[in-house]
Amino acid sequence: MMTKCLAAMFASVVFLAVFAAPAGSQTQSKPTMQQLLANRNADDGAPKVGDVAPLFNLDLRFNGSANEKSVDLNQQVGRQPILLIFGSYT
Amino acid sequence: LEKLYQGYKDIAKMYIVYVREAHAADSSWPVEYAKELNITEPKKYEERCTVAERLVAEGKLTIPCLIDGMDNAVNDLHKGNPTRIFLIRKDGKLGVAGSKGPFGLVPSIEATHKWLKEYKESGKEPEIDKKTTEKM
Repeated sequence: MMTKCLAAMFASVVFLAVFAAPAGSQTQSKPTMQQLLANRNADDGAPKVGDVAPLFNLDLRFNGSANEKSVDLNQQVGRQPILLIFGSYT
Repeated sequence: LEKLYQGYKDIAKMYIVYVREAHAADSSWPVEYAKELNITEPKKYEERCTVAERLVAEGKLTIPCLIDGMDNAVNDLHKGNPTRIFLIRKDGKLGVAGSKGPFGLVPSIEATHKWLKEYKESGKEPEIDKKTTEKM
């Protein structure tokens, strides 16, 4: 329940951040809320459940252990499930 | 997400994959706080790392954070921007492939939490359910 509440709060913040901008600040045509909701499951070429996960190697810059400078998923698959959270500040 | 990490970091690896900005101040669709905080799209890798460091610090996140290259290759491969979640099973297949954020984020977190909870309690990975994404 707590996770759901926090997740809902996070999504609300994201939603407000994206959509609460003053009308004058909108610089070009943007999708409507209805379009975004309708398209959230549209096939955009993203990997799907059951697909073999794309594997990669990236630098680990924050919150890693002292001797862990990069992460190679090829070396990690099979040991534990791996959760990837894609995102940015904005 | 931090709660999810704290709850399951003993049974699963978790990483933030920091990708290009979705709504930077200098983008065609900026968010207000990006303007206020002067977050523009980084032009160099170290600039991207600096913005990611701000997110980690200000969000008090302890989740290990990977940084996508300036070619955005990992993001493009996953269609990760603006936000998206994937859970890789031990057999290398995706057990959760979240819908596109921000609207897909909450149901993706719920599906991930359900998957991890079942795995933690039973010790077995849930069966692949290809309709998971459709339910989000």
